[in-house]
Formats: sequence, structure tokens, C-alpha cells
Amino acid sequence: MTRTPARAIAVGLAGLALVLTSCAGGSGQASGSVQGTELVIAQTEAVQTFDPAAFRGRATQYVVRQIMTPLMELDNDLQVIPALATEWEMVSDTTWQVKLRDDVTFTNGEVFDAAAVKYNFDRILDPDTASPRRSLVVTLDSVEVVDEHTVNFHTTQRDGAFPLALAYIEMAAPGYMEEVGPEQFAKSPIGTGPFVFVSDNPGRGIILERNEDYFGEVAKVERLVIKVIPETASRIAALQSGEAHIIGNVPADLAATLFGSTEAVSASGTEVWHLGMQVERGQFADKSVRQAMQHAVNQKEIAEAVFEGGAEPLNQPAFQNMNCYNPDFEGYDFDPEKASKVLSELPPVTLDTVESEKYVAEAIAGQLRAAGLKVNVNSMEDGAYLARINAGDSELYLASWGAGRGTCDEIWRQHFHSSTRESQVFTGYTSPEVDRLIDTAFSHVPDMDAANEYYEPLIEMLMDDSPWVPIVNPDQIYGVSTSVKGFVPSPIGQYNVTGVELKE
Amino acid sequence: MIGFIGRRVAQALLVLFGASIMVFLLVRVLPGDPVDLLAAEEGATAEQRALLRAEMGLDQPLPLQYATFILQAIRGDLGISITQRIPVSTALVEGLGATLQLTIAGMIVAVLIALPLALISALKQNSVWDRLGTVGSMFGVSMPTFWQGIMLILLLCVAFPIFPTGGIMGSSYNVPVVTYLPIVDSIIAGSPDAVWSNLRHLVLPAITLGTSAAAMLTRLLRASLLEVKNQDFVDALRARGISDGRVIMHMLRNALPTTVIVFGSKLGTLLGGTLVIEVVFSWPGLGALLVEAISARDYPVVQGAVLVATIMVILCNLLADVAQGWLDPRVQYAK
Repeated sequence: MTRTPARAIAVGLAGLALVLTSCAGGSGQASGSVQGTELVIAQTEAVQTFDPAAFRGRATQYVVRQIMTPLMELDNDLQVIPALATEWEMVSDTTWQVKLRDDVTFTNGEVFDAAAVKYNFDRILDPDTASPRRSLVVTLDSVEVVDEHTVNFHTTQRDGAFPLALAYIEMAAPGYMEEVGPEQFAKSPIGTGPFVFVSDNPGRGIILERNEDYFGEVAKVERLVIKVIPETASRIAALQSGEAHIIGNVPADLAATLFGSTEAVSASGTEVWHLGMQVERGQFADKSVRQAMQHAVNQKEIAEAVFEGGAEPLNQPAFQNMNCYNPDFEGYDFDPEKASKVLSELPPVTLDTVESEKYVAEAIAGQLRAAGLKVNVNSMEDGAYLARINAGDSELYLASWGAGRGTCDEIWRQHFHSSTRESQVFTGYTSPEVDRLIDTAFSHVPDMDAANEYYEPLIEMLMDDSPWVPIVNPDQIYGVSTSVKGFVPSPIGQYNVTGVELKE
Repeated sequence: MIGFIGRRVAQALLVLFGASIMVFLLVRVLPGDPVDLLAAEEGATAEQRALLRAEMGLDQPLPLQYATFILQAIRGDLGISITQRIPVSTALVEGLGATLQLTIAGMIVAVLIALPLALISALKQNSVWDRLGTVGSMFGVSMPTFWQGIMLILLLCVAFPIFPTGGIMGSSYNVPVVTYLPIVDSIIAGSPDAVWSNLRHLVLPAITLGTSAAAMLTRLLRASLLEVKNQDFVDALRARGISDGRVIMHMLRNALPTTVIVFGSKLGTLLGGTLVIEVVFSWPGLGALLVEAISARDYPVVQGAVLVATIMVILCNLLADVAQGWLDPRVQYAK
């Protein structure tokens, strides 16, 4: 998440920058680089490590993904597509069989085969690795080499969404890892990706060079440089001064400030923004109050006014690209008068949010006030906020929860299934029927026709019981220099740069 | 003198011990822990969170965690970073080098600004110049470094692309690390291009840090100069027909020690300033490292970074005290 110490300043300054650049005619060309050969991307967070079994978090994944490849990938509609694997099928309830490409070598010459796949997953399964990736493949029990180019993944239970998880695990070169050890590998990795690792110096950026022997589309740019610029205003300045060609994490309210030699480019995102309400005690324990909240929020207005149209208004706890989304679901209509009959009777409530999302919380609070609710916005530091909603101490909170694999299960199981209530209380909402529907629907995935038999009533139930007021699914916004051609933004924030060219 | 230094060192060690307990507890009093933050992004089962906690030693009682931390720290082992999985000392050394370079550059800028300002103010006391100098330093003291940094970026990187917006040097310079001071390493590597690139990246953060320090320094130096100005020896020098320039040199020689000492004791405040500046200019120093570690609740890194910063401040104060005791023996008995 981006932290902006003074968001208002950033907004004002971005405007001022525009005035200044238009006076001075900012060039928008990357300085100190040869045009057409070096692409510079600036991201918010630093890379933790290059060991694909040892990190957690998207910012690291974006860069690791350039050097190492997973078996499958997700396309922009969140569909699983082949990468190192060519095909996969569920051969039994607890076995996924994956066929591998036979023409791939790691950049140090090692052959990519079934043994390499087993090696990588065994590292993640090994408790001694204490891999933060373990929970991505929580159902994985063991990996079996069938032949040189076939692997069987044995799971502890039926897991129809397993291939989606494989899209998040990158393959390291086993021989090299054994030779140099994980600590050295974490500093200079070897993989099969579109780029080869060159160097990583703090304050200079991570430098990658094109992998000429990449099995997929060979990159058009010769070098890729990843810089880390945590401060939003500084990141936008780097784009405007031409030091970076592509920047990530552009807040919606600043996207409009990018024009001239820079533009905002967006892909539909993978986050479900919602208001969570504590159902076990306090004001929102009463279902009629929660339903009144549904009538008080105007999602369309939030999407238009706050996100400048760069967001999909939600009428259910899922976005359109999610596997269980129901396009026929009606949802609640916006009716502040109806809402105010209930909400105006309530004592004041506090809406908790993180600092970086406060501007959205304020807009929602405005709508709630218009419907008679007395509400204060309380913006918190990320860690403190998470501790509060995990403990179930927040009566009302705004949250943005990601579904990077585009499955309902990854969000709903965490928020509504009783098995996770112990460690993460959130709204405290559970019911045996919801548990049953989540589990049964999941047991039918990937057969979505069968799964939706259960997901449809589940959406009805979640919206009737109303632990959440769904808000929006904001786009992923990138700032891109107009010299960049062929950049296709990704909903999960990855950099698909192999097709990118730099033009004058 | 030896006894005086001994007493000061003993006091410093006590302060350090207190600070170590403070930082240890403060980090843990913060709501939220590293596991929450790690698990927030992709979800983790209760069982896995428990495993992660055990692996980080967060399931141990606090006194035991503290004892482990302090015993390891005495041996120079500050533990392993939770997010980067490298020894904390490695991360800190890199950051410390960058911060030191920035601090030294900032000090140089501060002196270049403060010296002429203070001289003009003191010599032309109550003139327009003096008033302007005072207003200027008030402005410098009260201007938020964050805002000033962004302003400089907008003006000198975006509107007039003279300097880079951030970072430590151009990405193409791969200078071997010897001293952890990027500029020294570039000189050792014999790469004038790298030195030049490093200097260009240093200018704006150094100016931002330097102006806030210069404001403080100007006021201190002006006060010392005014005190010296009215002393008999100055009149005596003038009576002997010594040139103005040399008189000023004599005045500075007498005014500087006090200024340096007081300024040294304020270094802690300035270090706090580098924290914000490093974030704005993506400068990979101790401050940027600390900000990142706090938001990830990377306890070992936060503890290590604060400990190192504390040691730096204590050292500066110790040096200032000792210098003062050496310059003015009365201080030794008074304290």
C-alpha cells in the first residue's frame, strides 16, 4: 500500500507540476538511457528477496516474475493460460496431472524438467524452509515425477482451483540453487523468464537484461530497470521528468494529473472494496440496520466521483471477472430516505480505514451522513488497522481485499467461513449454511456451472444478512510515458513488458 | 579528564540500555504484527500464522525475547530481517553508509549557508540584513522538509530537468562496495562518471537537509559571534589597525567551538530529518529502511536501526561533551 504523509500536498503539487511542465515543456524522455533499449519501471515497494520460496507480497512477485516463470499464468481475464506447463487435468479427486514444455532451459543451461518442478515445490513443502508461499498451495501434499515432462500434484482434498495457485509459484534453477545455496540465490537468481538478472544495488535499481533464448515472446527492449520510489509524489515526478517510463500504484484521484507526455493507463483490478460491519455486537448486530446501510450507499457515485470512472460499482461481494459473479443479481437500490428511517435513530459510529484509503472513506461517510447516520472517519496506520479488524474490534470499517486468482473462495473463505474466525474475526459473521455453501461450491470448481448452483444462493444469503456493503472494484492504474508502445496493463499488477517498445 | 570521560561513557551505556528496552517494547506495543501483515496480502490459515509466529520467536514470553535480542546484540548479531531474510547487520551497514554520506553532505551545505548569513547578521546587527537573516532562518526552521523536498523535485527535476528525482546514482553504475559510502566507493573504483552521477543525485537531498540544519546553525553562530564581538580582544585588534578580514577570522576562531558543541548535541534532531528526506528522494539509507521496516513490523530491523541511530546520537553528544570539557575545564567539575 502506498503511504502518503500529506496526500493533499501531493494532489496540489501534482497540479503545480503540470503548470510547471507545460511552461518548461517537460521532455518525457528517460534521461541517461538509450532510447529503445532500456525500459525503466518505478514501483512502490522494495523487493524482499529473489528466492521464489521466501517472499510474500505482490511487489516482489512482479520482479521475480521477470526472471523466473511459473507453470501457468493468469491472463487479463484471470483465466489460467500455459507458461512452463502445456496442459493440466484433474486425473483424480486429489491429483492434478501437469504436462510440461520440453524445450525450455534455465539461463545457466540447466534443463527444465519434471525433477526441477518437484525440487521447487519440495522446497516450499519443507517445514525447514518456512516458506511464506506454503499457504498459497495449502492443499498440496506431495509432488510426484511421472516422467521427464509430466508431474502429478497430490492434494490433501479435492482442490479444483489448484492450477490458479500454480500461477503464483515461480521456478528456480535447482542445480544452481544447490550449488550456491539459498542465501546467494536470493541475491543473484537464475530462472527461465524473459529477463536475466544482472544486478541489484540499493538506490540504483534492479537491472535485468533480455533473455535471448526465452521460450515465449522475446522482449523487445534490451534492458529492464526496476526502481523503488515509495513516495507517490516523487514517483509521479520521476515519470514526468522522464526518469521512469512506467510507474505503478497511481491513486485514482491523481490519475487525472497525468497528461502531455504521460498518461494514465488502467486495467480492471482484482480488489473488492467493502464496508464491513461487526454483526456480533453493537449497532450493526441488528440485520435491519445493516440492510439500511445497503440502501444508504451509492456505489455508482463513488465510482464516478472518487475514482473518476476508474472503478466498477459492486452490488454483490464479487467483481465481474470473479468466477462466481452473478450478472443477474439485482442487489439493493440506492434509497437514502428509506435508509434514514433506521440510520438516523442510531448513536454516532466510527468508520475505520487506512490512511491511504481515507479519501474514499470520507466520500462514503458523506453518503451515510446524508442518510442520517452520524459517522466519524478514523484513519489508521496499516498495521494498527489490520490488528483491529482481525480482532473484530471495528464496528464499521472500509476494507479493500484482493482476489488475485479471481476466485470467490479466496475472499469468502477468509471472511465468512467459520474455520478462519479464530485468527481473523473481521465482521464476526458465520453461519452453518454459509459454511456448507462455500465448501460445496468449492468442491465443484472448476466446473463453474455446478459450483454456481451453490454460489448463487450464497450471494443472495450474504447480501440478505449483509455483513458487507460491497462498494467498488477499482482499476489498477499505471502512469505511462507516451514513448511507451505496446504496454498492456494487468489486473493483478504484473508487468507484461515483453511486447513493449520505446518510440520517440 | 580521564575520569570525566569515564563518567560520560558510563552514562552513555546506561542511556543505550534504556533505549534498547524502550525500542524493544515500543515495536511490540504497536498494534499488528509481522504475521498479520504478511498474511493480509494473500491469506493464511490460523495454523500457518502460528507456524510463522513460532519461526520468528514471537510466541516466546517478552522478557525471554528481550534477553535473546540483547545477548545477540552484544555479540554484534542483530538477528535476521523478517521480510528480506538477510542478517539485519548487513541491511543496516548499507543503509548507514548512505545516511552518513547524506548527513555529511547536508552539513557541508548547512555550513556554506550559515557561515556568511551569521557573519552578516552579527557584524551588521539590527540592520536590514540581520532582519532578513533572522526571518530566513525562522522560515528554514519551520518549513517542513517533506514539502521542501517535493518542491525542489518539481522545480529542478520536472520543470527544469537538471537533477534526478531520487536514488543514489544512475542504474548503470555497478561500483563494488568497499566502504559502504557510495561516493568513496566510486572514487576507489576510479570511475569519474559514477562520482559525477552520485554527486548529481546527492545535491537535492543534501540541500533539503542542509537548509533545515543551516537555520539552526545560523542562529547559534550569530549568538556566539555577538558575544565575541563585544569582547575586549576585538577592540584591541581593531586598535592595532588589523584588517577587518583578520578580525573576523579571530572572532570566528573564538565563536566556533561553542557553536560546534551545541550543534553536535542537536544532531539527533537532524537525523530525524533525514528519515523524511530519504523517503521523498528514494535514498536507500537508514531512515528509508526504518520506515519500510516499521510498516512491515520487521521487528529485528526496526530494533537494529533505532539502536544504531541511538548509538550515533549518543556518540555525537559524548564527543560534544568531551570537546567542551577539553575546551573549558570548568565544565568537568560542574557536571
